[in-house]
Amino acid sequence: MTDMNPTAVGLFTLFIGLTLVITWRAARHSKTANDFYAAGNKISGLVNGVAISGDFMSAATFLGIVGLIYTAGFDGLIYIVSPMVGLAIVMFAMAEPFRNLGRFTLSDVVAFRLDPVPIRLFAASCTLVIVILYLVAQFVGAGKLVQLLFGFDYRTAVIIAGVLTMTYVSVGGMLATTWIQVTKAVMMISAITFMSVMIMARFGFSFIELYDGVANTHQLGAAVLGPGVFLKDPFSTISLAMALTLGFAGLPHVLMRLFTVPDARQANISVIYATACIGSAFAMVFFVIGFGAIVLLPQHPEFYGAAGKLIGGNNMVSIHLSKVIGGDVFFGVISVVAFATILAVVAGLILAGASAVSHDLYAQGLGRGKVSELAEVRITRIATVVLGLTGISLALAFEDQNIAYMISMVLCVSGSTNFPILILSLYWRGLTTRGAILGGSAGLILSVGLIIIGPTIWVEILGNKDPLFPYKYPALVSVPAAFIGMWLFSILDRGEQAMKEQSRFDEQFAQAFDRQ
Amino acid sequence: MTLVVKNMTRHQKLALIFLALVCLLDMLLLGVFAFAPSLYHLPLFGHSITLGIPLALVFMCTVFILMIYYVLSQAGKN
Repeated sequence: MTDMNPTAVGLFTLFIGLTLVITWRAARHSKTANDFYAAGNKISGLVNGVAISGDFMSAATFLGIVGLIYTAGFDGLIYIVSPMVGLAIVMFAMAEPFRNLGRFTLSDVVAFRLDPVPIRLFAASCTLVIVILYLVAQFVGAGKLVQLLFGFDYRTAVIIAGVLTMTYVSVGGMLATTWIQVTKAVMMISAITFMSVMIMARFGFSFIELYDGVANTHQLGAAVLGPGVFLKDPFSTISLAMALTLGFAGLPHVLMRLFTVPDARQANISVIYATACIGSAFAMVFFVIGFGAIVLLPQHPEFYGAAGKLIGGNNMVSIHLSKVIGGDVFFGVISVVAFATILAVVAGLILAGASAVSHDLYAQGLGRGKVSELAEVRITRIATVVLGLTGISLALAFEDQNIAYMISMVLCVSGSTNFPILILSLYWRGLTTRGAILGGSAGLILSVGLIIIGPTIWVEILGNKDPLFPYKYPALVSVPAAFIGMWLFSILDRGEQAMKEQSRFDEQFAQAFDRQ
Repeated sequence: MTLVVKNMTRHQKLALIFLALVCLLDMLLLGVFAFAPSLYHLPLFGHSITLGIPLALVFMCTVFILMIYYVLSQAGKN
């Protein structure tokens, strides 16, 4: 596996060259803060939609979901359906008001009527927690993947990924990040489509034959075609679905893309294209690739180690499957797609984090809106490098962490902090700054705290005997707690500032839905 | 909240109805997944394919169709 694959090396070099050209060209168009953060609001709905789909379809989702379906079958459905519902929430409830109220970051939306300095500091802190956790997961994934595919040392692989993404963001801003994301999304969807067609061809394009094959091959038989293998209790099922749905609708690097289009209608069109791309890719992953792997991989004993375990673990299912489908050439293609995916997602994440630092914490927070655009963009570039270096250092320190679990942690934090603040500030007049911060803090502390004392970290990593919180996914506790906290602390807030914030709701509503 | 709904245009109310519909369908799908999983194990056409698989596809298509209808109706509004 560590032998250099010429197709992979060739395509890898081509991709890096192409992305650097995109970055160089984008740099010439990124002069103002609006160009840097929002690509001058000139991105079309189609391009932005494809970029949003690329932001969500990270290597962890692609490699992880195929691996999950390979072991747990039908239970992978939760990972396919929940983001679709998240996208529906973004489209029907958030895209239009977001585009009309915000400029560059999520905090712009909530700061419209809430006290700008404290709410920006809090929202930016939540964004940074989400971005750093997500970055570490992506960097660890990149390091492991490149180590496995190209034979590089883990440390070298993480540094290569870090330096490339810092270059994309600090030089090319949102425009470069968007086009790199589009390039990667097109590559990924094409590869998934090719893989699905080739798999279906092996089953005479008959789903009945494919699923009969699954029931005959998997050790659980037909049971793998129904729920209950991986998610064994209702709490875990609902909690995981809640984290995936609401967490998606609160991801800063996905939502800030809504600012790159010219108007609210294009924002909605972006969501349609994103849904088409994510929905079709995930449908092929769930209905064809994951189940196809169950039938096809066991026919190739060379992919299994001495203990009968898949070489490289379950995250390598799609990589091994690519070799079965299209030999060394397609194996090289899929390897590059997986690495390109990580680079593009990391670039989007770093941009979201750097914008939170420069726009929310520095320009609008400390500088109270009096900082020049030039200084703001300069701080974004510095923040990009600092965030990149932080991600690299943490990825080197946490090399052996469970990536898939870190991502579910990110979605749980996002669904328990960003999502409730955003949705209540848009639709509930009663929300006050104090309510948003105290309720959001409750969501943040509970989501992180319950994950730490849950089975994965408390027992599997820290080595304790029993978990203090029995479930892996705490969103069913932390999300309602955040909503209840925001409601409770807001109705108890009777100060003058609270009245002022509530009185601005009508003005916000009119601007959000373009009714002035 | 009542006031917010009262102030909404027809198009915004449509968004609210569609959102409620998607959430309701998702709750149904998840509810069966969590509380009555045996229903999704029902085999179809005398083969191994189970009821859960086509239902999932129908759900995904429904969400997508509602979103397309919403954007098209927005074009009509403008």
